[in-house]
Amino acid sequence: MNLEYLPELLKGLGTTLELTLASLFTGLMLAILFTIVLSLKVRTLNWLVRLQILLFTGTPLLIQIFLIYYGPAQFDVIKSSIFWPWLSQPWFCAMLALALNSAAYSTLLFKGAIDAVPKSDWEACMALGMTHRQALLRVILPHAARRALPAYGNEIILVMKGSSLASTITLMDLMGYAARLNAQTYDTLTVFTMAGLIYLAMTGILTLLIRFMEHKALAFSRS
Amino acid sequence: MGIAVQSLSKSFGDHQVLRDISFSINKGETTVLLGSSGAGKSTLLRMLNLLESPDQGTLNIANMEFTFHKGQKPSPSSASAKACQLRRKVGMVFQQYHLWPHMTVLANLMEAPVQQGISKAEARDKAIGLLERMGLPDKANAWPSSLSGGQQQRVAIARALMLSPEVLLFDEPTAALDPAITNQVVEIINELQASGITMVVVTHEVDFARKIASRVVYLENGEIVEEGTAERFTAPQTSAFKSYLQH
Repeated sequence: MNLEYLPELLKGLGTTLELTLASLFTGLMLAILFTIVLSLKVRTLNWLVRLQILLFTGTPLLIQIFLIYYGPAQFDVIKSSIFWPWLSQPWFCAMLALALNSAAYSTLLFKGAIDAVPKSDWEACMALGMTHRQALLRVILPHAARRALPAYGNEIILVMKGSSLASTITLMDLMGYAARLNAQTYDTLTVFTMAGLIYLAMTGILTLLIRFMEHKALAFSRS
Repeated sequence: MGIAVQSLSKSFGDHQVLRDISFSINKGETTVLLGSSGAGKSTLLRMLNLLESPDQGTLNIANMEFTFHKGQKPSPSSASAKACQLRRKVGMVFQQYHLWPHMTVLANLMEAPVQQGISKAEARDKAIGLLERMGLPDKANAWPSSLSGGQQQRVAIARALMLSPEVLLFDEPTAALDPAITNQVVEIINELQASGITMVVVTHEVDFARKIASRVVYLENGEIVEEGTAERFTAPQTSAFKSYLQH
């Protein structure tokens, strides 16, 4: 194997990590918001969230990235709006697509975890005079979040790997550098094996981190 | 006055679980709702803090009045706000304890009072005091799942007492406990009675009922068959209650 490729590939690592972290954070905030909207059955918003989930879980991530990056440029209204400086950047578009995609899957996951919280938790809240909102925010969501953590761990890894699709809209992340290196050298097997190993190492580190968090968050269920 | 219930009825679908129930309970009394399973006693108890809403009738409890008319639903938001007020004065202890498993014992106790405006320090002191009273001074930081059934039940009682309720409802508090542990619950209930709190206890265990009751209400098929003071245990007035006491 030719280790010379390694420094070149690692130039893209920063972008991959930034993109993953930013989209996970944005996606998580949106997912929490969406979950609250669904759980409290907020009128109208409820349906918008369902539509968002349908669209973003029902179509490929690659199409979402393409549409968000190439789509707005077709409309002069958007090009002259204050959003254009953001929407014309590949980094922001990739982040937005990943975040919306992750938000859709995470919302499903969180809503499932909330529905799986035993009825007795709700009943205890009601019997102590809590309102529906207090019960949800103070007791049910924290319980559900702990239960959802193992599944959300998978989502974290999926977003990290999904970020490689950002290279298709000119972003120079790890995958972007790998593609360029391949085009320059035609040493396809080596280049992509190395890129794959770097992704694998990141998955390994993330898995360990998630295990550690699970261990802390689910301490209550072990005793 | 403690609790007064006037012509409460409740159906689930076609099945009428309670018909025309009326009784009253004086402040500071411990009333046992006795009956075999399916008699409607748990449903009746859950109506006292509106976890179930009656189809019709009037409920007077902790100086609040609720009237229900058949086919007429009160607007949900105002009804639930009033129900919240009621539940802060009427505590409940469940058969399966219903502790929040992801919160420590102390957090279980402090959650509701802190939400309702008591300072954390004050809630904490009160919680520690109640745990001591329940014989669990060293369990403040334990997870509920690490406790035995009897210990969990005492934590649940402490949690209900955190709001200093005027009335405390118990739904089959000993059904999941073995007989030796049942006596701990008897002691706690008798101690609480001495402190003047009004209690309503649902059970199907006659021995347990005898040990705690100052009044008894015996139900069968959704109707009150017999009610009176604890003397009814030795001198039942109806043959139905008499035969229930014998098995």
